[in-house]
Amino acid sequence: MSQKHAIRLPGLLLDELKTKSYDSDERFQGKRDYGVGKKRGSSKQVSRKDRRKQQRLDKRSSQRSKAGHNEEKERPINVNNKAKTGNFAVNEKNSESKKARTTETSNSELLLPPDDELSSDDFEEFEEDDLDEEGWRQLREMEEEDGNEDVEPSDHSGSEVDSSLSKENTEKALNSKGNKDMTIEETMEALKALKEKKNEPQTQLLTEKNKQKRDYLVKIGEQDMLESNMTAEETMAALKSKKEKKNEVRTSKSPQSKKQERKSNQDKEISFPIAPGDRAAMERDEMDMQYYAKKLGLKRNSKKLHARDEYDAIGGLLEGLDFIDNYGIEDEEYGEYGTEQKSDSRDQLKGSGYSNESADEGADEGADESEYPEDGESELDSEELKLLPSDDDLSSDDFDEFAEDDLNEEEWEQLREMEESGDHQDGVKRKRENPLVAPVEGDSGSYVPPWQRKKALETGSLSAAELEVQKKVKSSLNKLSDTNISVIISSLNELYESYARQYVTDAISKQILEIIGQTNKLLDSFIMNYAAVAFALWKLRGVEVGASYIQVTIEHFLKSFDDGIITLKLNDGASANSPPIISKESSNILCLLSYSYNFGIVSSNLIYDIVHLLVASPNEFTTELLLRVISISGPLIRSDDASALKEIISKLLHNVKEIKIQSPRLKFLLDTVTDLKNNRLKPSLLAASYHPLKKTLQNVLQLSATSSEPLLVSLQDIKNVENKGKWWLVGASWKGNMEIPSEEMESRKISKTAKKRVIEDDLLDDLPDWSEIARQQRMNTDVRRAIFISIMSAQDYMDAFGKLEKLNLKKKQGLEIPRVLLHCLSQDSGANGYNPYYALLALKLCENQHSLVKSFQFLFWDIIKAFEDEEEQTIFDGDDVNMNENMKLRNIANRGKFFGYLIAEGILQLDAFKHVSLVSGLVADGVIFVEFLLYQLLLTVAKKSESKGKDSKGKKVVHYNSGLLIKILINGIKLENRSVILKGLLYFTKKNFKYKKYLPRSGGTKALDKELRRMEWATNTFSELMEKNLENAIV
Amino acid sequence: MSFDRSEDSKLKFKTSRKLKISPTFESMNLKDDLLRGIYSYGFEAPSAIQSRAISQIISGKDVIAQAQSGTGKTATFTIGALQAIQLKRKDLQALVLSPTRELASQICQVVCNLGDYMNVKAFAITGGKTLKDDIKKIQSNGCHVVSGTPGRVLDMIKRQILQTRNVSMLILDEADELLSETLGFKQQIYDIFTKLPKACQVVVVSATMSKDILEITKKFMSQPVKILVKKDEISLEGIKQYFVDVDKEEWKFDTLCDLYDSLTITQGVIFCNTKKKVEWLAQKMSQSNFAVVAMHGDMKQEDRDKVMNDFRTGHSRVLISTDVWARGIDVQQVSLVINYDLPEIMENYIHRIGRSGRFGRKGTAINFITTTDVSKLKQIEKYYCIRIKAMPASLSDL
Repeated sequence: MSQKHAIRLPGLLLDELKTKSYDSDERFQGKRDYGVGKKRGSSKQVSRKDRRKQQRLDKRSSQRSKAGHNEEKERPINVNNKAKTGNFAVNEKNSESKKARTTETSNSELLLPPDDELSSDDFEEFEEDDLDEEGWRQLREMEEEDGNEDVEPSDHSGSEVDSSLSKENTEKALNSKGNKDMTIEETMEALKALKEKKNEPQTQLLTEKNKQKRDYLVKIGEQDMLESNMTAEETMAALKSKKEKKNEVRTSKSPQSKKQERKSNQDKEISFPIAPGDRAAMERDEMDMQYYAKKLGLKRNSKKLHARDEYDAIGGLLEGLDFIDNYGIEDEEYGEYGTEQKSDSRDQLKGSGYSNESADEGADEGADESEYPEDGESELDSEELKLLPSDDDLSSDDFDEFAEDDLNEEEWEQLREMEESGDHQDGVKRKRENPLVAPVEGDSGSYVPPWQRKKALETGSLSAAELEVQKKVKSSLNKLSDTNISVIISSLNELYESYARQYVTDAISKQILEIIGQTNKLLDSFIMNYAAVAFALWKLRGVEVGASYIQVTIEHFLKSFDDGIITLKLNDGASANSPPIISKESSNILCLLSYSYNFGIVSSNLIYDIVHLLVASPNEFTTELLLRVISISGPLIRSDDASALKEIISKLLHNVKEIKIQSPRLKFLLDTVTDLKNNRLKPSLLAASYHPLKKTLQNVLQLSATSSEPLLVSLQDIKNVENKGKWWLVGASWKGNMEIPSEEMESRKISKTAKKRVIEDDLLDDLPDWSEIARQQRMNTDVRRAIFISIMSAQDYMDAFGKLEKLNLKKKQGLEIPRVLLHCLSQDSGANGYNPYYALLALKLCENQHSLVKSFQFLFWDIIKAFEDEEEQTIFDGDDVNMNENMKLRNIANRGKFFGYLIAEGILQLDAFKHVSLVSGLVADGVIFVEFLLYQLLLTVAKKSESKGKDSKGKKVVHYNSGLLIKILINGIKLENRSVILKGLLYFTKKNFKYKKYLPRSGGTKALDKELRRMEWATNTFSELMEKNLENAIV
Repeated sequence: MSFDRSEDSKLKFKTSRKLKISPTFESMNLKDDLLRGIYSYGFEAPSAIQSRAISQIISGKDVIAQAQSGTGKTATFTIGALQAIQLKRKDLQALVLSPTRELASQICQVVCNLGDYMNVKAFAITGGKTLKDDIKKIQSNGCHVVSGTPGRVLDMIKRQILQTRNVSMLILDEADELLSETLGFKQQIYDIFTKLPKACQVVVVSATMSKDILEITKKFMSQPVKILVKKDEISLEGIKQYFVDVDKEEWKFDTLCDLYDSLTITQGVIFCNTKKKVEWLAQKMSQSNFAVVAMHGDMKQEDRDKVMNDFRTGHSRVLISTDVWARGIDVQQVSLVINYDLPEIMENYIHRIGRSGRFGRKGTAINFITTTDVSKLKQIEKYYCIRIKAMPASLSDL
């Protein structure tokens, strides 16, 4: 904050003045609005400007000593408003009032060129008060206008000699301006109003003059009306009435706020067509302004400065505002009048033909104060406002006047906000936010719930990179056609190299849909190109691109499809004569999808899903869509999955039956679908083929034909993307995700069945918890449990054997195995019948570890013992108490078979029978047990000793070798026991052994025959051998 | 191939009497097979001219129909003719005459497509090629519809290859050209008339209709039903118009590229004032990967047709043209018209711009103005009583 700034900045600005910037602006504006602008001598203008500039600089430097401080501090205050043009009106007002009092500046006034007298005078005076940077510039602008446009400079020169204020002069100036251009005229009006206010405290006489002046103004207005449009006069009238009120307002009232308003108005006025050069200059200005604003600690929202202490001049300047804020309360009688006038002025504005709609709205807002606080429209309008040059002034002038009258504190706040927002949307120049100012507005600290946060993220401003990507994508896709498609694709592909993939993918999907989602029908070949782009990028860039493209497209389609259905329903009541007009958006997007399918981005799955959707409710709309799908991908749909097509057709026929009045179109659809089924589609129906394009793409981009499979996605996946995660990412979807509280009600049913199935499906559940089962089976030691699990969980007996080996049991521990094995056998057999697995396992174990044989033998005796005594049996079978009779029998049989097999295999010896009282000691169960034992023994032996051959006649003959049986009988029994055992066995075989009843009843006769044959041989040989042996023994 | 009927309904029609308007094809009582053909051709609902004229043609009255190109005129009389034809008979029943060979074969194509399900036999009989095969087919299988140019048709009639005894309908497409003095078809057409039976129905169709032509038609039409779309129908309604201040001529191209970077454009037409500039711009845009076709007055008609066809079928997305293109042909997808130069002749502005928004398709028109063009823009605004706004900053809203 030094004097340095004071010099440098104005100089900077002056330079700009010299360049094109607002020369062109001004001219432009004038012409644009009324097309009557007078020719201005531009050469003259420049020279004069320069001269003035020089003078001003001189002056300022001389006065800086006293005014400098004030000025510097003042400048930034206005900066906030971002006004490019200053508050000329205020300047004049101030200066005039001062002029009446002060004489010290009169000498300098004389130096000025005659026709400039007014403004330059002002200027000088004003400087002392509160002129800011903006003000300076605006002032200069006005001066130029004065100078160039004034038709009668001589008049002015005559009058300006007196140093005192000349009303007439002003009027004349006004007059000439009024003739020339409405914009300036209006500004002048506003100016005058302020002037009057200023003058009020000094002189009552002025009111008289004012009236005269007003009359005059009316006249001017009338003249204007002829030239330009009539708004001017009307506004004048309105203004006049307001001015009367204003005159009573204190002079010092609200210079700041008024300035702000005016500035923003003028801002709009001039901002309108901005050449790039100008824009840059403005931006530079703004940067400066913002800088100073920041230095002063001014925030955007609070424009008021308050005096921090009594020496703080700037703050103090604004203190007066409070007065205005309360003013309306005192001034009630005027308030009513004011409103009346306001509404008047509004009507007039409306009447004026030329004024633009938005200008009207602006005026409305201004006039209707009750609407005002809640009126968000103004923000929207403001965008338009900037396009309107002068009409704006009308409304805002109005607005400004009344605001002073009867706005309270709150409304002021609103007003300021509105103006600001107007500024913000003020076209291109505002687009770039000033980096020096923290973005205060908007998120002013209120809490934003999470769902809105996401929204804001989606809709919110995009990062620079995103914007850049978007632009490039747009540029490429806008150019796309089948002639340059490969170039476009490679340029898009290159984008992936330099930008984040997600951005590019999003931008491409979005842009494609934007182009395709038109409301009028697009050519098939046109849409095909875009599908081709998506296809190529999918091939080049992988699944993510294709998937998110499909996702977005389907989402779009579903949305537009729903819209279409809704419009259809809404129009349902309408007469059949005017079928509803449905936007072609969904048709176009569906076309895109169909081509995507043709190219092979998605599998037929998705298309069938969509077709199902369309078939579900046949009507005009879906019929049209269906026809389009068929015309594009019909042949492919047919060849991909003919059965699905049949299903669809039957569904369609079913649904169509329900419609009573079938339109010819629907019939046509049915015909077409039938044609499709029969592969007889008319070629005229088929859309442009995609094959050539696909081939070219594959050639040009060297895409391999089969590098990636089409995306297998269903409509459901796409619909559930929010809940279940992205379907194209492996592992993104998980089961638990289905349970969203909000959806629970709907999905409860589904999830129930789903849960059931889940259990059935679960692999882990298929594997029983063996240790738990082992416990249930009363395997009470770790060893037993380990053995149990090894036996039960094995795939086959070799596996089990391996597992048992791995247990590395000690010798003693190993003895547990037979016990557990037998337990398993009885448990298992109770339910499932005899399983040779256990016998095989026992065999294998005994071969490996001979000590186990003993163990099995003891077990055998245990069982036999149980059968000798009823009571003991129950004790032994303690764990089988719960078995019913049937199971018990089966259990006995199985155990018998088990031991029979062991004996047959030679693991156990028949010698074990030495403790068995075969003749009389067994209970009924015991008999059955021994019977089964013998049965299995003989069967196994017979099977082993069987040999097939052919006799001389070529007939099949089965020979049996009795060697094995002999070996079992003779070698298996110790000599001392032989006679006892053999006698017992012989007795038993003859008395009790009725093998025929154990032969399997089921099974083929051949198997039965075989067993019968074996048993016959075995029993006979067995008996013979025993008898023979007995004879030998006796002998 | 669809017409926005919300916009169509706004069209003003001048008809000789109160005409029945058929809102749907179904309500016209067409043959089933024809209706299927119509659907398979892609029509959904009749356009304004179709909904009025078809039922009149079917009723057997003489009809004069005038509507702009692209409104479905060809389909109108084709549907009418196909409906009137009796398929059981094998002789010639409808004769379509058009001024150019291309148009004649195009019409034949439309007849075939619309009559796809009817087994209709149509032939294009035009000059410039031998017709041996066609003649054989006509003589052996018969022929229901002939579309041709007057000279060759007359020749064939004279050689008695075409039997005119049972012709019940004569259609003159682009009648203004056929009947104008310049092309010299007039006499040939009169000659054909003399060969036709007296009760023959006459349908005259054209995009423009002058008093002279209407005068001529009186000679061979009796109490025709007139369906005329008002001549000044092209409107600027529904078209957003903007200007962009490019300041200097040199900056236009960059601005153009920038627009293509920021807007969503399906197809666009760019108008320049001189042929030289058209060629320069076409070259420049091709260099930056645009699919461009250019057209100007120095090109032959065939070349122009080819260019138009390229543009219509979407092979190229940008058409650069002088004012030759300003009237007559409609391309569905054009969403943007750029006046690279403001038109020299005031009237051409509407012809340039009016195109893009036809039939309710919301169009956008952007005018590039340099500092010297400002007054011209003012004039245009005044002339058309419109207001052309500056291009808004948020381009994506367009």
